[in-house]
Amino acid sequence: MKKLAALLCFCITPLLFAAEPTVEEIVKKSDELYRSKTSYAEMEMQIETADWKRTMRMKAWTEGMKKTFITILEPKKDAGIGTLKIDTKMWNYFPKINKVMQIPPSMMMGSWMGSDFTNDDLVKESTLMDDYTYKLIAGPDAAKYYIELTPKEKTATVWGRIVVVANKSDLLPVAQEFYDEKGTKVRLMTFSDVKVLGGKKIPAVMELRSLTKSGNKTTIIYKDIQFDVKLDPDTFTLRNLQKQR
Amino acid sequence: MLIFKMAFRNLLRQRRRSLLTGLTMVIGFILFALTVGTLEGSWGTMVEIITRDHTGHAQIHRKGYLDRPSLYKNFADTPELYATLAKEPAVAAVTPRIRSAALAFVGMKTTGIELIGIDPERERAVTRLANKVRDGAFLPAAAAKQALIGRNVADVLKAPVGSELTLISQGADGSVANDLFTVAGILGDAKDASEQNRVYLHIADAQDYLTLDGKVHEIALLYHDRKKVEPATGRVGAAIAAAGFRDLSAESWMEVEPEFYRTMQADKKGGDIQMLIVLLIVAVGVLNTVLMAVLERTREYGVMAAIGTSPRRLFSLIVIETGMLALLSSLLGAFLASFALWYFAAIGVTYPEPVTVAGYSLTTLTADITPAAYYKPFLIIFLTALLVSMIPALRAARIKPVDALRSL
Repeated sequence: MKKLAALLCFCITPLLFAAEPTVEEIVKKSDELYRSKTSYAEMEMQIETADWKRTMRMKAWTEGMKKTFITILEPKKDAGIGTLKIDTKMWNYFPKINKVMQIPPSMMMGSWMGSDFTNDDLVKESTLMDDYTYKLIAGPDAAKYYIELTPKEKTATVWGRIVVVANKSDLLPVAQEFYDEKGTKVRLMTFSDVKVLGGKKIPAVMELRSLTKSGNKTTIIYKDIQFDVKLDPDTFTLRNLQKQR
Repeated sequence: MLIFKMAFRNLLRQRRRSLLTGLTMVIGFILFALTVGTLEGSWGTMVEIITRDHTGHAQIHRKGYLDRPSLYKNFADTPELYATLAKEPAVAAVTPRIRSAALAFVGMKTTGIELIGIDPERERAVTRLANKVRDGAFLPAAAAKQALIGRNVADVLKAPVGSELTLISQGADGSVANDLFTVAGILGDAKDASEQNRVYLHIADAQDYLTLDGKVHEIALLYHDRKKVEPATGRVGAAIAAAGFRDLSAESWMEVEPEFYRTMQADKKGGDIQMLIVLLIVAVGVLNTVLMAVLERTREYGVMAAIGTSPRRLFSLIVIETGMLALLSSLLGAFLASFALWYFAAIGVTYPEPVTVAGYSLTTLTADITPAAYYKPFLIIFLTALLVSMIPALRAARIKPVDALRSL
């Protein structure tokens, strides 16, 4: 009888909460938006600053949250530049000078290839799930969830807090607001153009705006994305990094 | 006119005394001319060193570049801009440059460097960079992905001529600038600190490397006359503004190298004191001889007063006499000083120890033959002589004939 009750409880609980998703679920969705067991994506990155403008085309492979491999296809002069991330280590490869450079932890918050994305953003060394504590907060729009994330004590980050805004309807993130340690809003990431890519409903456009450097904007447009593809076991190796030309 | 004739005769009457007084003035003149000449000369040498070493006499930048240099404060060096500069009569040569910083690698060694893109042929006409190549060769006229590196860079990276140099920097499009270059030559030696951490590339290579197609950060100008830098720079600035390059400005080397200029100004102040001391020596010498010459002739003036010469006339006579002597001495002094100045200008005197001013070392003391080396001593000698002669002249004018006749 006792066993049955426990079993019943176990079965019913998810049903009870189905209408009201857990905060974890929303955060996890934000984290794994463009990832799965494995993924392959083709994307375009447009960088705009007061002084210059640049568009890059690149390919990216990921495996879980731990491994990432990115290679640039265009512009021609940057073709073959690659980035490999395994766990907490990250390397950039420059084919012209045939040099693999490991990015020191101190540079994780530095810009990736001149964009507004930090190295950390790109490889997700820290995940919202594991490295932040989160709680639901009230926001201006009733149709959206507002989740405030504060870094755990051990998390190495420059953000004082992050606010994730997600649709209540599909749990897809709409925006992420980044605040510095003094509580000033410094970055705003917005997600738009939701469509089905690789069998998953995801926002195809991700725009990152720096609020401290006026005119700085980086947009990532996903052209194609495939989830749970079979990857060459050599994908996430330094050898592969140097092979991409 | 009679008074001039009398004054002249007075000079000839006592030749030995006139000669002695004159000689003091001649020596004073030469001393003063040399002081002015060598002071101007050493400043001139310093200006020459600094302008021909790197800065040129003036530079053109985007407005505000000098206050806060930035990769993005660049401009297009269009043919129209060069044509505007070529029309300025003061401009002798121009050369465009690109400036940035980079990380240099050779093998496992690395160092930070100052990156400069130059047009080798034009650079030759403006600065003496090509003369500083100690090992290897200067950059060829056409871009060939070669680099000239400072001695210090070569030492730190252990990079002889022919090494493969890797440069990493930030491109103007935000990309990571990365490329390989071959070391063509090494600049300067251990003593010459000016090129220590610099790496020079062909401007076309540098533009390609930093994604700055057709853009430069500065244009260095060389004028025909280094003594007219300020007015020439003013005219160039007005000319480029009139030609429609409103976001550009021309700055003289004094603005490009303010630290060096301030040091030089401070040194000039020291030079003024030096001149004041020479002035005092010359003035005292002139005063002494003129005073003696007048006192010696108290009796003579007494006679003149006794026969009815007015005090005013007597006063004028003495002042004119000294003035004439000063004029003649100055002429002779100028003649002799020319030889001395020529010697200093052409040959100079080698310092036992080179003097270093703000990173630039001077090895010889040379003079500059400027109008100042002539008119300054002339004015000083002439005016001091006149001023100094007034004291004994006043004495003579006030003389009581009876006392004067009795005195000697």
